[in-house]
Amino acid sequence: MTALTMAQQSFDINGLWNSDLLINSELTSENNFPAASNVQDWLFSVSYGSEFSARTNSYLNEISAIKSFGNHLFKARYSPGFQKEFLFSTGQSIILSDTSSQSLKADYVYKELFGFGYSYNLNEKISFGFNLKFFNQTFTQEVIKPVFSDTNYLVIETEKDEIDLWKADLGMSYKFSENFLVSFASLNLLTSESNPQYDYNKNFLLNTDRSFSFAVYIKPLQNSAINFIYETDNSFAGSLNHFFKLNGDKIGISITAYHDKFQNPFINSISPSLVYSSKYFDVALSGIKYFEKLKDISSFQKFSDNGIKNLLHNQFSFDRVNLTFNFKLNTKAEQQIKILEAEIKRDIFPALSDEYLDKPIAIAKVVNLTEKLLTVKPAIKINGINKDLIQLGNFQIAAFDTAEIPVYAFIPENIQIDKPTLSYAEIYFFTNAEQQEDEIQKPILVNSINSWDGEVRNLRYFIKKDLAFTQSYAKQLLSNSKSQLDTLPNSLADFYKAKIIFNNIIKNLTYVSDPRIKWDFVQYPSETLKLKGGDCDDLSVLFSSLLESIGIETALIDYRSRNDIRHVNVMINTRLSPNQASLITENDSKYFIRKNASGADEVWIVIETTSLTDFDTAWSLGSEIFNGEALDKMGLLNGDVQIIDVY
Amino acid sequence: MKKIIFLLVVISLNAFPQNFEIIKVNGKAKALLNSSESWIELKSGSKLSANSIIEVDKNSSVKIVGENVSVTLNGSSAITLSSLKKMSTEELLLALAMENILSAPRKNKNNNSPNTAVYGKNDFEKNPVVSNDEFGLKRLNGAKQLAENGLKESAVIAAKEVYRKYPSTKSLADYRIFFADILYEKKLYEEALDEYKDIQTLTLSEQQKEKLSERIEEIKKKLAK
Repeated sequence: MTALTMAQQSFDINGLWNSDLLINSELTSENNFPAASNVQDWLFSVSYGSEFSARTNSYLNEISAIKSFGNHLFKARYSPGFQKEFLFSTGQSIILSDTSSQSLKADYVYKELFGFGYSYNLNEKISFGFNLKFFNQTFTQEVIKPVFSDTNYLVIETEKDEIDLWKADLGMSYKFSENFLVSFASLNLLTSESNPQYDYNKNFLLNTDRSFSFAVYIKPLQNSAINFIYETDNSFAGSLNHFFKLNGDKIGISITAYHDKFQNPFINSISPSLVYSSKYFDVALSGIKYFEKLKDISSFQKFSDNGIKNLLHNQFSFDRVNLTFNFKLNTKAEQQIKILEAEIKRDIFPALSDEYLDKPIAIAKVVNLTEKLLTVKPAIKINGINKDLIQLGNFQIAAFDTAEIPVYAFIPENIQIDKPTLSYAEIYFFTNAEQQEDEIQKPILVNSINSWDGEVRNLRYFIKKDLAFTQSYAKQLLSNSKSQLDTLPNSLADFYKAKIIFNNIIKNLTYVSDPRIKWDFVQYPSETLKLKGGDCDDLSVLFSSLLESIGIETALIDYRSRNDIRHVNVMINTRLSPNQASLITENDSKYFIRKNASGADEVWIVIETTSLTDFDTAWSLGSEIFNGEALDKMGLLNGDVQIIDVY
Repeated sequence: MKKIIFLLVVISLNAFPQNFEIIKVNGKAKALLNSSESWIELKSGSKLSANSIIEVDKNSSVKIVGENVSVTLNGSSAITLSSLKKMSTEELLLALAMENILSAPRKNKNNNSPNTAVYGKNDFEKNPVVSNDEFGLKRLNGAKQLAENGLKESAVIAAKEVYRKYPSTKSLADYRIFFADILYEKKLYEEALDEYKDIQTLTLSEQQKEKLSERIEEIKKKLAK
């Protein structure tokens, strides 16, 4: 006998649905690998069925519960309605004493009573699951047995077999995109069955041959799905789902067609279904219509030869309607926004603290899961930098829209980090109600406090950091030259202060070439003085910081053109007008005119800070380089040279 | 220290590869070599780098030859040798764009307060003005002579630099019109129009006013086409 296999995946009492279309729910009762389920917390389900055979039977199909814990999903169900009974005459009869006869009967009852399922979302794309099902098979057969005594006679006895069966299967799903999911599942992977008491019942046991199913779920439109499931015995089912929105709720319709090689015609049945899905409950009304007639009476031979393949869906099944209620108990707040991805845009350079208030440290791709405009607040905590969550900025995302949201970091000013560390950033998103919606972790490189990103304009941060120290140091140097300064006109004060400071500091400094092409380490002014030397950026930072600390405006000149070896000079505002320039030089190629914010012309001079001979030489060299690179070669126009004001 | 010297030599060589030679000196001429503060007298055969400035006295002249260029500077003029170069109209446009960058006012910032310490004598020489208008005029003459030697584009840029460094020369209408006419001649009408309009704000003779009005109308018609 080609006997029963287990309830197959390609049949479901509500038809084949894509659960993604429902609100926090699912309608598949057969599939115990709810990998694609969007149940957020609890889902309780009860289903009734009515079968239209010679007499209509109504019964409880199943009751089930689903619970979600983060990436874990558990399901348990009790299914008293998942059963099929076959009552046959054995062909034998006995003639009673009153000359009437009695046929002997055989009764075969198959039940799937319990099911347990579990699935785990490994990540956004991959889920694994397994299920465990318990079946009971009760076979009773009337037999005639002789009784030997003073008078020999025959009696009818009933021989009853109860056989239990456990089976376990595995499945997995892969989500290629929001609109395309495939799943695979085993059928009868592991089984455990008790032995029948009577050998003749062995032929009627459930068949546990192993097979395999493959399913595809496609969402060509936001509220529509096409689903297809195929089993290795050549059975398949296909369905179309479509949902209509109704004031925040949904109404869905579906039609499923089945092919089963043991049933006729080729498409043996269709299953229309209608569902109302709301925040708290679903109601689904579904039916199945078979195209083959005359199922009420069949021969034992037909049963014996072909068996059935599915407890609910076989060549002996009758047309049926089902009514299913889902109840959703959400003890968790409903997730309104979801982080799809976050990309770290820059490493952390602790010295450049203010920079991170203007430029995002990361861009997060966030989707609004609701049908209303949402205000979201990104927050970040960088391990080793922040003790608390830092929340900066509000952003709005339209209903069901996906947006790229910038995430800004806050770097405390006085943080001390001595060496680069690979840390991680925790990125959170909150809604207006201060409810945390989603989070993601990303690795991030935290550099040392002396690290620099190579952008000359960011040397400003090194210049400003030590300002209290440099002010005290500069004032000390100038106080030693007070008598000299007192003889000068006010308008020349800035020029001579710069000259005195430069000529004093170079006495103890040595230029130390940075062996690395990539500039990644900058000394603070106090460090350069303590170490008595530095490279061009260290010396420029020191000189600029000393001047800025006493109110002399400076700018950094970033020379970028020289074979990737970049160079920095310092430009000083003498605050002289062009008419006063001859007070400091005969040579008009040694100064440059820049307009201040009010439009007045001011005389600026350029100092090559690596020239540690004297101020005049450093000035001459600075002028020559600027004339050549910035003006003659038009570096200022083509971007090879930039003037970056420190303040 | 060797490294510094090497670096600076490389920088200087890269920046000023071109050299000029003085072919002939009539009268008196002097030069500031590179960034020097001391003038030296020019003689025939002197070789100078592009960053040098030369000044020619009244009734004197100097013939200078550089790479693909030969210029005779006449009396009362001064010029930086790097200006002695042939430029295309496109290069002139780029150079004018850079002039605009240089002339743009810096953005208003949160200025740190200037040092309050006062050094120097109070009433005397608090803010002296030692305008060197005479040298500015020589510079402008030098620029004009560049144009007369066929280096019209370079002349315009040299004049712009003179106007920045010697602001009083901007009021010399004749020179302004001369350089604006070069822009017009080179069909840089928008640039010429801006210049003519700016010149209109100066004190002008009736003849100059008339010429400017005619030019402005003419350019407007050309631009309207």
